[in-house]
Order: sequence, then C-alpha cells, then structure tokens
Amino acid sequence: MNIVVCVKYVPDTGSQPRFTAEHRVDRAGGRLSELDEYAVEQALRVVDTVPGTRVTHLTVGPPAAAEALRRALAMGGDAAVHVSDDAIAGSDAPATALILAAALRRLSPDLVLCAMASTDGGTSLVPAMLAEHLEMPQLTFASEMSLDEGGTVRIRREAASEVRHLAAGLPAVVSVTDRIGDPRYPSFKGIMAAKKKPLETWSLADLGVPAGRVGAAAATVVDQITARPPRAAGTIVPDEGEGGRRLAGFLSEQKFI
Amino acid sequence: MGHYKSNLRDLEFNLFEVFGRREILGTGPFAEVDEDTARSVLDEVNRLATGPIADSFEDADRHPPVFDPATHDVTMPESFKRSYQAWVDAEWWRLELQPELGGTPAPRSLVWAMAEMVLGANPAVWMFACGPAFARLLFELGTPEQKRFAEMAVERHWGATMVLTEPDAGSDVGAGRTKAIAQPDGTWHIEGVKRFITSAEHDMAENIFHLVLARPEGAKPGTKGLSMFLVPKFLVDLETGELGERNGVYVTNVEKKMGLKVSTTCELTLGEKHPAIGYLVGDTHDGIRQMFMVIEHARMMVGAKAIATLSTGYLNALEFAKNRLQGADLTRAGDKTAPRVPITHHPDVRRELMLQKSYAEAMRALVLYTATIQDQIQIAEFEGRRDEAAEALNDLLLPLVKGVGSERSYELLARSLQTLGGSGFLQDYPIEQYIRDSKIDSLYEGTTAIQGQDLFFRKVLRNQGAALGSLLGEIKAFAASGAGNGRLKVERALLDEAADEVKAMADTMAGWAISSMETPREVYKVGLNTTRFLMALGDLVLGWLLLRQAEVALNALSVSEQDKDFYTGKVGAAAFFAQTVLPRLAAERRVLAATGQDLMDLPESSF
Repeated sequence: MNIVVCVKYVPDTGSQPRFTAEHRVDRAGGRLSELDEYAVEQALRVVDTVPGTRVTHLTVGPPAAAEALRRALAMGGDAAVHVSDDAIAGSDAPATALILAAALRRLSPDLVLCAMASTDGGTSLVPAMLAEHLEMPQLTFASEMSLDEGGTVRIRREAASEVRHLAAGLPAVVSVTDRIGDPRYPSFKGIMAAKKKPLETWSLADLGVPAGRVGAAAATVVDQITARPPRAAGTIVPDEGEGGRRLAGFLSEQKFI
Repeated sequence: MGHYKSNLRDLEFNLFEVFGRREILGTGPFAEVDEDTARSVLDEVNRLATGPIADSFEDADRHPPVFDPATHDVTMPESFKRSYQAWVDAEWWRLELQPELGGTPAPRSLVWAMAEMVLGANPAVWMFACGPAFARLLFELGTPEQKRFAEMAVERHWGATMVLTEPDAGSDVGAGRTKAIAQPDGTWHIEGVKRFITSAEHDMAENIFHLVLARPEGAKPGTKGLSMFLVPKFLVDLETGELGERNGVYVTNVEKKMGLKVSTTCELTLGEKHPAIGYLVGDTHDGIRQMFMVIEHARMMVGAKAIATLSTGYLNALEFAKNRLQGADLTRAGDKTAPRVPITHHPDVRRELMLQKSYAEAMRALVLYTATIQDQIQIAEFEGRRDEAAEALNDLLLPLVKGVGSERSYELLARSLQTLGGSGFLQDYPIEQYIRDSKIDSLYEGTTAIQGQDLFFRKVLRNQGAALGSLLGEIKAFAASGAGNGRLKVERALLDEAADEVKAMADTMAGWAISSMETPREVYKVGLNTTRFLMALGDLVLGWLLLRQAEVALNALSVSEQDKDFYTGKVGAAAFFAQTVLPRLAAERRVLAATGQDLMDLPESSF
C-alpha cells in the first residue's frame, strides 16, 4: 500500500493572523496544520495493520514549509516531498490542487489522505479538486476509515441529520475530520529518525506544471484585508427595581421575545 | 486548555540567546543533538506537557492512590497512569542516558529545560519516571552484574527510589539504624524501617529497584559507616531477564499529605516478613558519597519543580488579571462614571505581578545557568579531564536552586493566588493546588535550613571561598561593564552594591567561624544567619542573571521589532528587581552584622 498524505505549513493558530504587504498569509513561525495531524495519524495506523505500507508526506509551500514535513516525519512515515518554487507564491486553492495533483501523479499512491480543511485557508475544497484532477473517487469528511483486503476503502461521514457510510475502490482520495482519532505525539526516536528520512524538493519544472497557471497572477485577487471592528461594549441594565421590566423591554426591542 | 501554562519562549531565550548553547549542541558528547533537534525536543515536550501530561493533574489530586495494607499494593488513579505512560512512551528520558544504556546524551541544560515543562505540568510524572536517571547512576557505580541490571531497568521501564530517611534519621542521615548483614554468597540481608520513600510502590511498572542506605554490622557510626545497596522489589534472573521471587521489601504505609498526593510517600519495611536481599553497589563500602550523587540530582529536580510551579502560577494569575474588570483607574477613583478597568491597571496589582514575573524568570535562569555549568562538567568528562572549578561552582549553586528556588516559589505562589482575590481560594483555579503541591519542595531532599548550612559550611567555608569569590568576581565585572549601552547604568550600580553587601556578609560569618575555634559559641552567630545568607546570595545571583537577560534584550530591541513585548518585559523585570529587591540586601547585612547571642541565651521556657 502506497499512501501519500497532503499536509500544509500554516501560521500558528494560537496567534493573530498576520498578512504581508501583498495580502498573503504571513507564515513566519508556522507549523504543520493541526488538522493534518489527523490525516498523518490515519496513514500511520494503516502502517500498523497492513504490512508493506509506505507513507510519503507531500506539501506545496515556501522553503520554511519543510518544517511541516519534518514534523510529519517525526510522527512517522518513510519519506517526504516538498514542492517549492518562487512562482508558486500567492497561489490559491485551485492552483495548489493543480500542483499537488501533478506531484501525486508522480508518486502514484493507492490512497491520498488529506485533512478536512487547512487551519488558515479553510476552504475544504482541495481534496475534491484532487479527486477531479486524478480521476479518483473522493470520500470526504471521514470520521472513521477502514480498508479491506479487496482494495476498498470505507468511511463514516457524520452529516447534519444523518450518518452516511460510504465506500470506494482504490485508488481514492480521503479527507478526515478531527473526530477520527487523536494523533500521536512524536517520540524521541521519531525526532531522531526524522532527520535521516529522505526529503526531496521538486520544482514546477520537475512536475511539468507551467508557471503561468499558478501563483498570484493565476489566483483570485485579494483586494483588501481589514480587521473586524472590536465588539461593541454590552449594555448594562442596573437593577433599581425596574431591572426585569427593562430587560424584557430590551429583549422585545431586539425581537428575541 | 489545561491548567499548565508553559513558557517555552523564555526557555529558548535562556538556552540560545543568553547562554549560547548552540555552540556546544551538535558537538563533542552531544554530536547527535544539534540545535534543530534541541528546538524540536522542546517544542514536542511542550505539547506533551501541556496536553496529556497536564491532563491528570487535578483528577489525581482529588482521587489519590489507594494503598491496601493487606497486600502492600498501591493502585494508581487511571488518569495519572495515562499521563505517566505518555511520558514513558515518548522516550525523551533517553536524552539523560549514556549511549551504552540506549541513550543519546544531551547537555544538562537541555534536559533541565525539558524537565521544567514536565515538572510544571504534573511533577509526579517526572518523579515516578526517575528510573532511567537512577539506572544511569547504577550503571556508573555498579559491578558488571549491576550494570546488566541497569540495562534491564531502562529497557523495561522499571521504577526506582532513593532510600535514606528513617523515623529517627531525617536531616540527621547518619543516625540511620537500618542494618546490613553479610551472607556467605556475597549478598546482604537488609533489616529496618525506612520512611518518606517517594514512589516506593505503584502499579505502573513490573519492578521497582530501591537504592538503600544501610549500615553493615560492625561498621562505624555516622554517615561514614553507611553503605548503599541495590534492593529490587522482585529478584531478577540476569541471564534470562525473568522476574523471580518477591524480595522481602514491602511498603507498610502510604502517607496522607497536604499536597502532591499522587506521588506515593511510603514507609518501607525491609526484612520483616522474609529476607530483603541487597547487593552492595559497586561492591564497595562508599554509601554516603554514592548516595550524594543521587541527592544532588534530586535537589536540582526539587528546585526546578518549585520554580516551574511558580511560573505557571504567575501565568495563570496574569491571565486572570488581564480579564478581570474591577474598579476604575486610580486617577479617577472618585468618578462613578469612569470605565471599569482590568486589574492589571492598578498599581498594586502591577507591582505584585512584576514581583512574580521577575522572580519566576530569574529563577528559571538560575536553574539553566546551573545546568550550563553541568554542561561544562559533562564536556570535561567526555574529554577525559575534570573541570574542578565548574564542579565547585555547581556545588555552590545547588543549594541556591533548591533552597532559594523552593522558598521563593512557595512565598510568591501565595502572591499569585492573591492576584485572583477570593477566586484564588477556589478549586476552580489551579493555584491552591500549586501551593499545596509545592510546599514539600522546601522540606524534602534537605530542608531550607540544611541548604543554608550546606551552602555556608561546605560550599563556602570548606572551599575557602574560592567558588564564591569567582562568582562574585564575575558579578562585579558585569556590574562594571558597559552592558546595556547606558540603559542599565543605575541597575548595574545597584548590583555592584548588592555584591559588596553579600561579600561583607560572607566575610563576617567566616570571621565568626574562625573565632569559634577558640570560642565555640561564636558558631551560633553563623547558625543564626545561614538561611539569611542563602537567600541574600540568591537575590544577588538572580539580580545578576536578570540584568544579563536585559542586556541581551536591549541588543535585540536595537536591531528589530520582533518579539518587542517579550524583550521589553525582560528589561522591565531586571530594572524592577534591581530597584526594589536588591536594595534590601543592605538591611540584611546590617541585621547580620548586629547578630549577638541574645537569642541563644534566651531560656527555652521563655519561648
């Protein structure tokens, strides 16, 4: 079994989002997207159950994005591929999917694993786009995943009003939610081993992707970014005997009651 | 979010910006651990500590271990077992071990930085997991069979204990009555009752090995007559690795305590039911020296634990204070229409917070500075030489880490709780537990009184002031330097004065010690001031370390805007400490100089 996990280098969710002068996400001090850890974990669980499984982590991003791959490798897996090229800067989700798909064709996986979304862009669309590019079935938003020996992948998807059980033949693209099982913490051995695992860097030319189809020029343009206004202070109703009445009046004014 | 608030930024600041650890990482004994690896270690341990390790902190306090006197077994809370297992499985403890034991040696400074996060998140996890550290020592000191035992202990995650204290031999270790009786086969039978033995029983490991101080029959009284024995809970077949018979060492009571409840504090009875078989460590009678290698490690751990707890206490108090709206700004106190402000705006709250911050960060620096001296010792050992100056300085600093670290942390955690007002008294916040859990730190592994005596009599007097002199020299040189480019002028002058006060205190005490050879009662004057001197030297070193940090911070601020708040806080903390804490040393010196015999002459019935 050959599994490729698509991962992303994102800004730390603990801090305020920052943007560059070109309205791009400032990834300084970034990390592996927390949601991606769930996809990595699923791949590693397959390793534990299906002998001979090989896991490769794949990312598209600036040079610093290699850090996300190192962390994924510290959790486990065999190798990593980093697609990095100056022409990629400013790419939107369709362009990113185009590049990932080109890299995936070269890696010819049996199973492509993704998170349900990135913690920065958050479109949730890349897995579907990958399935389209690769002409593979897509099983998105999996809260459970299993593989059977006949080459079928099954997932459980929790929708708003029902639970769906879906199946598809391999190769397939699966995206997983954060309910699928807690990711492991990299161990000491994992960190030491990760330093020795192969990490290749590919350019657009390596993949035969024309630079003109990706990057800022090919992307949706972000015109402006403004911070949301801070929330206005609430209204305090002091109770001087009339508190209940005034509260009811306020709620009725706002059409809550 | 869990209770634990780590300060990874400050750990990295100390290691990489102040103490220049990148110079030794990836070289010599630490070839396998380069800077990138070290940063990954800290990052991952931080996640593990704030996550699964911290998770059981509260639950294990409310549902402490259960002791069954009939079977002598202890059942640990399930929540705590998970935290412990997460730490054991992650294997970061390998950084403490030599390669022969399956380790990858890292500088002690990195190990203690990592330890801080575990000790702050759930200290008992670190304490129960001392097996590898004790196995390392056994491997260093032991016979070939004991080395094999140590290898198994590491591989199979056995627990470990240090067994010194007895009901009538606490601070006075030399009064120990537990005896060792030689057997014809070369082993020993140990008989006696030991008390206050940490981690002596639990159900998280298949075996536990005790390092026991006992007196061979016919040996001298006092500490000199004590030998150290390896006494495993289960005997081990060193060929097959199979566990054999249950050894005659049983836990006969588990204490009910104020705090740190998940750590089992045990009474250990040896040789009562059936013989407790012991093996003389290294086949040599050198117990107290051997045990001191364990004790020194434990003292560093205790100080680091206390300080880690203060740091998370302060950060919890800070978060509360930033969000707690109460009262108007003091300048508009009479104005009923004035907006309510976060209590961080109130001068008294600010002062309290800054006192906590400056001590917490200064004492973190003290732990890591001491650890860098241990790095030097490690490097010297690797190169086949001894760095005696570094060893003496480490000896001098350990009572500060342990004594000052535990006293100041406990005292300031009360301030952290105070910041929360009445809410601080509730179990809704972790600080009441921090206070209960950290009180032990000024007690075990030598009380503060013992640390003060150790500092003055052993580390200053017996060393003829060499280590103290060179440390004071370094502090005076810094005070006289141009550090801070004019910005730290006032603070450096205050540091210089404080160094003179401490020097005068040491000289006066040394004078009394010398005259006590003629007039024995003069030594009382020393004894009345050893704790005072411990705390004073502590404040001086803390003030110096904060100013060194401020110098680094000012340089960083002069080149970029990055981390501006962090660096500005460093300068602010150093200035606050120099201006409000260091001047108090003059009063301490006056009190010390005026010491007479009045207190010793006062009849006991008048107390």
